[in-house]
Amino acid sequence: MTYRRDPLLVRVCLGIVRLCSAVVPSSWRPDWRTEWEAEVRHRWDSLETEQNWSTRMDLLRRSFGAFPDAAWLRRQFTADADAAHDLRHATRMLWKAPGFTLAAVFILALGIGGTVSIVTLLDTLMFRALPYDDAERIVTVWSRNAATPSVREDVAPADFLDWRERSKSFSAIAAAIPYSYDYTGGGDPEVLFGGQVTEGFFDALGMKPLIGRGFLPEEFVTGGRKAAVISHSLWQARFAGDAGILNRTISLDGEPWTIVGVLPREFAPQLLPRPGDQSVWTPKVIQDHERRTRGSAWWNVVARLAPGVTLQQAQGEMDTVSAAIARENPRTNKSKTGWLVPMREHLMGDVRLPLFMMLGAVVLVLGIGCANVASLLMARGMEREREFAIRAALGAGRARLVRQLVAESLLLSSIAAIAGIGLAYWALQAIVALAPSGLLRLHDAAIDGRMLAFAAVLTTLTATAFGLIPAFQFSNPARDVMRERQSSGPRTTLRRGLVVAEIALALVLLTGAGLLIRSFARLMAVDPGFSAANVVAVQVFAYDRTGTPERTRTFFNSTIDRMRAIPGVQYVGTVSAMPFAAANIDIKTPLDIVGRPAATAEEQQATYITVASPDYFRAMTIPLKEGRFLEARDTEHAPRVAVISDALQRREWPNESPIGRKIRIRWHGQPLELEIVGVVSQIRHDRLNAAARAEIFAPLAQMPFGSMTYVLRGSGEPSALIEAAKRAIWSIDPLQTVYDSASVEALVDASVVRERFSMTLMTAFALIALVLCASGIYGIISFTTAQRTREIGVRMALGADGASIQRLVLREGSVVIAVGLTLGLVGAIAAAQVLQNLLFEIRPGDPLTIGVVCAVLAVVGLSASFVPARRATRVDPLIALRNE
Amino acid sequence: MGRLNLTFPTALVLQALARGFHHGFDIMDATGLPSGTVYPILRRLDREGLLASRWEKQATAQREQRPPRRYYSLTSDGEGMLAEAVERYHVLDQAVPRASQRLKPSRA
Repeated sequence: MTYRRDPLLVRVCLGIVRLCSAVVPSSWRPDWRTEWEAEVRHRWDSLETEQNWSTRMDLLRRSFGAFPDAAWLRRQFTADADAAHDLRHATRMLWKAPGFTLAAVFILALGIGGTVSIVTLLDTLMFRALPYDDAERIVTVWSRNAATPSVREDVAPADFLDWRERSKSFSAIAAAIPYSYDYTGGGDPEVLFGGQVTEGFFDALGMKPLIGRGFLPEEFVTGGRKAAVISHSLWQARFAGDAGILNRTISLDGEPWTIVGVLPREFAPQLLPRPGDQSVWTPKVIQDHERRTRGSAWWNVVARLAPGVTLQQAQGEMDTVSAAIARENPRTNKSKTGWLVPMREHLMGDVRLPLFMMLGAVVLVLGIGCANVASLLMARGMEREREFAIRAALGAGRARLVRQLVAESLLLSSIAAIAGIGLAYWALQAIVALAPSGLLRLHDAAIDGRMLAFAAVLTTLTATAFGLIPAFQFSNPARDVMRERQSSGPRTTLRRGLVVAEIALALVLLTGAGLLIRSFARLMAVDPGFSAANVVAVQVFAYDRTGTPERTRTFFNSTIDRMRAIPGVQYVGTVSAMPFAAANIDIKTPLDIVGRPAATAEEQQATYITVASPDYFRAMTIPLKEGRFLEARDTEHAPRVAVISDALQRREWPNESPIGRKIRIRWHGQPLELEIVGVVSQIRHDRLNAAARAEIFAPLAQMPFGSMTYVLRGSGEPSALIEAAKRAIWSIDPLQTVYDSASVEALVDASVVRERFSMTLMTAFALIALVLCASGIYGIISFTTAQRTREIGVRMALGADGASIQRLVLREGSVVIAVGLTLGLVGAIAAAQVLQNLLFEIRPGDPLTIGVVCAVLAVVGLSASFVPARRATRVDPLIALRNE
Repeated sequence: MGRLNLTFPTALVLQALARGFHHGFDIMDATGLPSGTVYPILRRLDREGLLASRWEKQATAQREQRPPRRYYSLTSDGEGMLAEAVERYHVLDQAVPRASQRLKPSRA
């Protein structure tokens, strides 16, 4: 590229540039040289008028600057090329061992996917903003009974009214009262669920209607305008999202109501026992009798803390107010206090503990997975010793080799992360489907950017965890690869350490799962006190359509008669408080026993009063302990009688028969005297794991009641039976709506959904852990044994028989397993304490569970050692020795 | 690719580019920086997409009997970076002359 005859200085400068160009990566070299040559020549040309020593020296100095430039380019190139090379090499290595790659990706994807899905759930429940204004200041308020301090009980109307009047800690406090409306005029009569709310309900939640308005003060008084607010999904489903919905009139309970507002989609306070997505909300007009009602509690209260008031201060004031109410009303409120629970905690429900438990489980699975992949990598590392030795001999430094191994780990875990996130999407759907239906907010659970970032961090950590240990193990170029393999030394120790870790982690998980399974089995084995098979329940609220006691009696008598006529039906009864039903009206009564001194307020214990028709017990197959059931002869004209529950008998007459005794109760504010004619065995009412309640059953004929559940025992499909029952009701009153209906088996089943949820997930994780653990142990032990082929060959050549070799291998395996079990036991007992609150009738340290789990792991571990041990004895000593 | 370190020399190079110095040696003249500093900075700016480069027209190069020079100019990202640099280094404005003021070859 000579253009003309150059002066010496230019030739020197161009020589320097040419020399430096050798350093520049070849792909860039021509351009680089052109650039530098052009600059040097241009400078020389422009110096023509002004040549002196200093400008010449300056040109020379600048030419030397070509070297730093060239060196910089070379460094860049090398770094990029090394990274690219590492990646390419890693890809090739993984591609060449598809079995290993698939196994490792699968194992890691399980761990990463599981962790990401559980963390997403936790995030959704605990950290995602609630859809309410300044949501952290919203509290739910419950009644707490000193006898059962962990149960959030609904609030009695008069208690709520007193709280509202006396407390200063809230800027708004309001109640929602579960209510269902018979909706007619939109086709078939149907039930719309919702609530009546007191003034300020939407203010307490900090929620404004999406369109329209909330309620006006004049709508909370008798005779006020009938205004209703509907939920977003009701608006969409029933009114097709019609923008002109406001001021439309709909017929609820046979009266015209004006729709004044539509709630935003996010509105789901889950205060009511049966919230439903499609709901109607109306103003509560407080009735006079409610100002005195303290015995029955069915209101749900929500409040907003006043500015500057802390939760503790508000609770402190609530304690004072409750104490004052208790002094004024000792009979009903002696052991009751108001209990503030932050909204978020309320929404989270009881799932926080199971979810944290699940998080522990997935992290354990991930840990076992890492140990597994680490051992797989180590095994491969052994096979690749030669590769590393050669690369080290050719000048690759330790850092370079470690980088190569880390690249492989990162590539592996990145593939696993992608698979894991896919898995997490799927797992989230499965978990949400399995989850107790009350957890509406879970449906919002989605993997967002933050969760992806979390997955990325997790992946890097995982790669470091399983990649670095073997990397340092095998990248020491100083190690003499040709040296004889030994059965001891740091590598073997590390491998044994991995087995120990896997067994210990698996023991923790299996113990947790075992305890939950045993607890669930015990729960399912609880006798509910009735037979749920072939029974269906159909609930009606018949006050509005019956009115007088006489009409109520007639309505139920005639519907029961119609139901009896259904083919295949054996018994038909009806009851006011149906075991395991979602919405029951539980009525408590003070109880005095005739002939005993009247119980003081302090001595009063909760006693429930339930109205039932004669065949209720037979329909439910509730066994009679003593005396007789309620019968058809117990009419309104006959002497007042009652059947009591076993729990009440044991409380009041532990050592004698209560038959013929007289008791005094209160019914609709009136004292009534009943004679006990029978005792039925104990019935679980709400949950299988709750104590049976002290209950008095009175005949429907003598104490007519509108909110009843029909119970039908009969052959055939439950759904067909339910349909037939509904038709029977409608044949008497075509406008009577059915509130709820289900097979009793489904009701009982729904009560254990939470326990089943925990148990199913935990068992799934434990099984994954067991499989991983077994394959991991097998892999490591068989690999270790294979490494010792030569040693075993020598032993056999010297006369050792197969049995002694097997013993040798097995003994070593057992020591490792024993250490793992011991460590795991400590962890398992500690971790089981966390489960305590989830367990039913089983102690966290249950020896049987832990024993079985240890035995299972020991068997798995020993059989994993046995196969390699047998293989070892088949080694031909000659081959083994020639292996050198 | 990590974000570029906005050092003072880098700021000077950006300013020089913005003020109409488009070739390596001219930038050295404008900034007073040695070639071993200016070129790596140019390479880095190039890699980060803060500047674009093209070659001088072949005709010009042949007329002057030398290879074509490489012509650097700021991209819009580069101008953003310069704005940041001006913000950070208040003396930048005085540190680099404008290309319209004819320069003497530097003695740096």
